[in-house]
Amino acid sequence: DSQAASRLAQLLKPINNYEANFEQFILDGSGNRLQRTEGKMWLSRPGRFRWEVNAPYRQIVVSDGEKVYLYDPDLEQVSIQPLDTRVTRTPALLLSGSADALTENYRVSRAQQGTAETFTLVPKTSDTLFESLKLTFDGETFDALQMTDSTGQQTKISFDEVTLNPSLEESRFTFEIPDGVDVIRQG
Amino acid sequence: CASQSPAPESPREKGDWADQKPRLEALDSWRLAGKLGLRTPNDAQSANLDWTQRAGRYRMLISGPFGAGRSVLEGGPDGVVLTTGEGRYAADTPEQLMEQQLGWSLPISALDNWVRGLPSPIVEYQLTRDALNFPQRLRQAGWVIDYRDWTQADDLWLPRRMVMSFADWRATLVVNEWQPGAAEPGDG
Repeated sequence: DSQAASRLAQLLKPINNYEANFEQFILDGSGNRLQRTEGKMWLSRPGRFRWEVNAPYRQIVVSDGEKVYLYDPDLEQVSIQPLDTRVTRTPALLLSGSADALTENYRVSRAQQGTAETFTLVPKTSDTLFESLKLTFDGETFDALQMTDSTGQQTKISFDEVTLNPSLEESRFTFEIPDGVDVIRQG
Repeated sequence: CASQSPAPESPREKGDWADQKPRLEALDSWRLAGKLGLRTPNDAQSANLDWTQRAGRYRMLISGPFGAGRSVLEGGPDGVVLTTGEGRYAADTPEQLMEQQLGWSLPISALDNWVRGLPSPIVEYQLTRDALNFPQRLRQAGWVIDYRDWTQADDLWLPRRMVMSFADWRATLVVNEWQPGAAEPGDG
């Protein structure tokens, strides 16, 4: 277990910035596809990320490390809430959080198939959004994430066109609230 | 289906509504992907909505980004089940179930008509029309439904944006992708 955890930490350590296209599926307990979305994401340690859904609709989630902005252009609404730094509550933090925060909160096991290493994380606390989490690295590049909740529903995210440690400007992780938009402050 | 870029829509024309009404009333299977915004005097929420309808049965996924906080409402003539991250819950009506588990509800039993621009057949209603004879404002069962925008899918005009109000409570439904007739996952 600790050997798997240190291997995972070793794979996560070089990731300071990360940029990729994503495709996300939500599946029900029997594997039926309930939703498919795609878009682009950027990450920057610690705690900053930008998640832009492009299809079938537009949505933007930005964390500046303190606050998370969820902007919905169709609803003309932006909700702002403090960043829940508990990795167990904010999956996107998995990459931009620190490696030992991960291993503190999860029991980690590892499996290898060819060049793909898959780490299964089971949360040590119970107040989490998911029951188990899988991170897959292909040739040391992070390329898939899978979250399963207690009823078997799954969120599967795969990444491609990955750029490791691109230089990213500050503006990537700030959100300018468009005028005329409903601002909702939560938490 | 490959997500085709939406064909440039020819504008709605007078008479379109009357022509398509029989087909619209007969439409009993579809998939749609969109947004749901909920507004009460002291709270506001937004969620993604993925709805699969197949004759009298429906499945609605209500979820946030990363699929967070997702709930799946599945219903049909034999009752309704809501599956959340915590467990599965059953009840006779969707409204009762959502109120218990989510703290809010939508008139799901009428929604499968309203979302097509049609009144629910079982309760009386008042309807005002726009200049092109399309439904503009529907009053039914205490709700006021305003049809703000339309989109074309498989040469059917279907609501793209509708605002449903009840007392001081308001729900906005925006449909980003309509697939009439598609009912199997991955159809269309």
